[in-house]
Amino acid sequence: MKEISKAEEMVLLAIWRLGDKAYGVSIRRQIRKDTGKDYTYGTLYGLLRQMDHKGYIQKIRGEPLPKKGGRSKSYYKLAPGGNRALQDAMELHKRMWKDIDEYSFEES
Amino acid sequence: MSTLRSKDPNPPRLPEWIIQRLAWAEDRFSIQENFHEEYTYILETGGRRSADLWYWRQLIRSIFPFVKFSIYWRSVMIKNYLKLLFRSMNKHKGYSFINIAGLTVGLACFILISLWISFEISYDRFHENRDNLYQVIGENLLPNGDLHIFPNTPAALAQALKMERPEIKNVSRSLEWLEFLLGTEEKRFLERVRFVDPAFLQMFAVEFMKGNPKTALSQPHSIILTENIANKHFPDQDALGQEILVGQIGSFLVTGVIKGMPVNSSLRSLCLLPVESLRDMGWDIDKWGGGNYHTYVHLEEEANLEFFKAQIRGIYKKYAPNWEVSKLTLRPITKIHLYDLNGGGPIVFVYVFSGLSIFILLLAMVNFTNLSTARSSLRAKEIGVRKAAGAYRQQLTWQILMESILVALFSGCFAVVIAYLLLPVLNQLTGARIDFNVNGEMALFLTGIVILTGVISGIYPAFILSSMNPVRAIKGAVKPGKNSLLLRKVLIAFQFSLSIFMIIAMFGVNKQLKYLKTKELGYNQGNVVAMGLDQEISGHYRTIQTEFMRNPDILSMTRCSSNMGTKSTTTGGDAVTWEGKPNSIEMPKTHLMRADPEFLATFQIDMLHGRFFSNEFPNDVMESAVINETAMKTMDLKSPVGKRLTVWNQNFRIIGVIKDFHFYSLHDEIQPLIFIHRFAGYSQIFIRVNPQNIPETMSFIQNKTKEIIPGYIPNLRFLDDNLDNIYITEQRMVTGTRYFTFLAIFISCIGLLGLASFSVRQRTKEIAIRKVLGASEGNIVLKLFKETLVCVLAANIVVCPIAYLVLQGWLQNYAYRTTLGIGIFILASLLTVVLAFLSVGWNVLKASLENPVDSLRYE
Repeated sequence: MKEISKAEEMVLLAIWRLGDKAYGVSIRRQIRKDTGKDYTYGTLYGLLRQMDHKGYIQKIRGEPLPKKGGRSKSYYKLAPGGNRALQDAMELHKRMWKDIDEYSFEES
Repeated sequence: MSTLRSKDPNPPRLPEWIIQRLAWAEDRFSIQENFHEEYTYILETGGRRSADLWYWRQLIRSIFPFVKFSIYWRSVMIKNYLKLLFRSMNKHKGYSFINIAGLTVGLACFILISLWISFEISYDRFHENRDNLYQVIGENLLPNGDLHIFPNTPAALAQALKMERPEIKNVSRSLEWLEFLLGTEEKRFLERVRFVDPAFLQMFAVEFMKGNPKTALSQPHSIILTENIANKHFPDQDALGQEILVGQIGSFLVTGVIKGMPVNSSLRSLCLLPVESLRDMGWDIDKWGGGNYHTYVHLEEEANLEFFKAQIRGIYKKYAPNWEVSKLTLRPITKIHLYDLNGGGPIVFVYVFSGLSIFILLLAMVNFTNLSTARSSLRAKEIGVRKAAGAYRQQLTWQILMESILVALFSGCFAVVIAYLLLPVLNQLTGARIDFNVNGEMALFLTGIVILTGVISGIYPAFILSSMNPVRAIKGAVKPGKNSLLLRKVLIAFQFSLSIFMIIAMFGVNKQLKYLKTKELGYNQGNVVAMGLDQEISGHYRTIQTEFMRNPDILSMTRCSSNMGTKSTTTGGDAVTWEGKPNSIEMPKTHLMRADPEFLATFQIDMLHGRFFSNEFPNDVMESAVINETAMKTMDLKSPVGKRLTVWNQNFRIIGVIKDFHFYSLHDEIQPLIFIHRFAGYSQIFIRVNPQNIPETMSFIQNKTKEIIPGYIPNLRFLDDNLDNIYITEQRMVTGTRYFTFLAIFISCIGLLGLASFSVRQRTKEIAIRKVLGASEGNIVLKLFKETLVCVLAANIVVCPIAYLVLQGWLQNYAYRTTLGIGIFILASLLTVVLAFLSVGWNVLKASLENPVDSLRYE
């Protein structure tokens, strides 16, 4: 299976961490908290839509907003495909970084 | 919550709007909501300033990803559309063929015409100084009030302009009508050459292969050969430094070899000689008055053109106070080819043909629109399902539009191939030499046109289809509206209008050409061989004549100063007076022709009064004149023979009146003509030959001439071929309209065929029921054809008068014109009805022959 990109990995992890509270604002904050990266909504929604299309995540329509004519917010959660993709990513990481520790890159 | 509401977040309007535009429909709301939420948060914690700042920064950083993803998703959709399009094209092969064939033909035609136009416009643009090069032209008000524009200027004008006006960078005369026997002792041809001032080489893009452009023309008796001529006379050696004979002026030193002018040059490719050499022929090249020189000026970049134009006449007056001055003005070098001096020129064809090619393209678009709207019921289910599944109307419109654009792009690709293959035909048709090198600008333009074609042909169906009510569409209850039915009929009528117009135009132009070519000219132009003549050949004429007349197949030969079609010396007004001339009559444009006594016999023309020149009257040379019938009438002379006639201050006695004949092209009426007889100054020899042994006679003429004038190889042509060449423009129009007519008919008919086959299929049951109830096949065919017939007839009724007026207007260009007659209109109408019947009838007939049981079985 094709590996997911770093950006996709970050978004997927953020969604996983957020559980059932994952939506635009919270995902963006979560990513910033975890990685320090400041994603724009443009990038974020582009990724979300792409991953929705690939079957990594699922879009869920929430309750309508409590105001006049309020429309419902979209929440995201991991789809089975996303779960597997994260597992694969972790597996890959472990293999790639096997036997390497933080001292390995020190300049001698 | 209440605090939040009291500080109702009010994000800046503009970025909010931009975000709405940028975001894709699915997530538009969520994205906006997210922005809102964070904005509110920052507003509460950090104040409005930082919130606004955040909003803007976020927006600007988001623009690129938004656009990137939008494009990505669009292309995913296009892939999807392509798949659907291929499926439906595969399913309805005939229909796709009609659409693609029509658009391909229309676009190919458009591409070819675009190539041709860009070629026509490129004329003379290869000169580096093109924007500042002008030709001096004269304007004369004729007695009848018409403006006559001419390019001939006096010899001394160029130098005077240069001396008086500082804004002139360079100026050059150019004399390009003299022909000389050019070559070496062994081999000589009669060639036209151009006499110019040395500055000519700096002004125009003359590409030197050998020699130095700065000094090549500085000495008299130097000559610059074109590549062709150099190869003709010095095939295997370096032409530079060789001597070459130029008629009787003498031997010239070759100081340069130049590449011929490109095809898109209005200056012909000629050998160049310095004007100074003309002095050796005894010419005064510094004189005012008369003059057959073209004068070209190269102005400084910053020169004030209007001011300069206003000065020219004054300069003329200052230097030559005694000469009658016509108005002198300038025209840009880039206009020389496109605009003829006295109106018309290739520019007319540029307009006519680009108009026609746009119309042909429109016809193809109409086919597309018509077929798509007619078949909208077939697609209704697909659209209904898409709508039910949540497609937005905008997306559907976009999808259908995209399909038509894709079809147009396919057709565009085919069209490029077809245009490439047909380019030689176009070159032959137009006499141009166009290469298939499409530059970036052109490619962009054509791609734009292709896409535009797709959009125009798809826009109406796209709106109709996407506006369907999904429930009714899925139920199959959608009937094409009355409006679209009406529109379809109007469009068919439009298509046929154009076809009818083209057919009538084709017939009309053809008829006129036939008329021009077969009209009695008043003399016998058959079996006459034409041969050029220069000063040197003139000197040998007596010998040539004696030798030639020994051959029994040469019946008669004559010399004259006209080529019997396009070349003529004219005078008129005060220059012509006669004995007993009343003040009320002033001669209009009058032609002056030199001819020898054999003219009458060679062309087999009759005299009306008196006699023609004769060798028995030696005084005829210089002293006698013969006028034509028209001249006699214009001068209002009852008995002209014996009257004194003065032309350009020389006195003649009228000895006879010749019957009118067409010594000039049939564009103009026969004008007054005065014959005079001279020893020299002739430009053509005409030889009447026996039609039996033409090849032998021709080679006899060739060999004898070469014998008498060493090395001279004459270029022999038949007079009737030359005369046909006068009407080459008309000939091209005939061929051009023929092609366009064929295209218009082809596209209209395949469109009609497609529509008919579709509507017949829809009415299979109706036809079957009619048959069961006893209608005959003929009845049914007629019934179904009636609708189309009405369209075609309506088109005929509207177009025939218009076509008549347009053709009549065109015929006004000709003094001698055919009568259009009702025949061509009836023929065109019949032809269109028959064609329409064939396109519709075949399908209808097929349907009406079917066994009604088969059609009704499933009910």
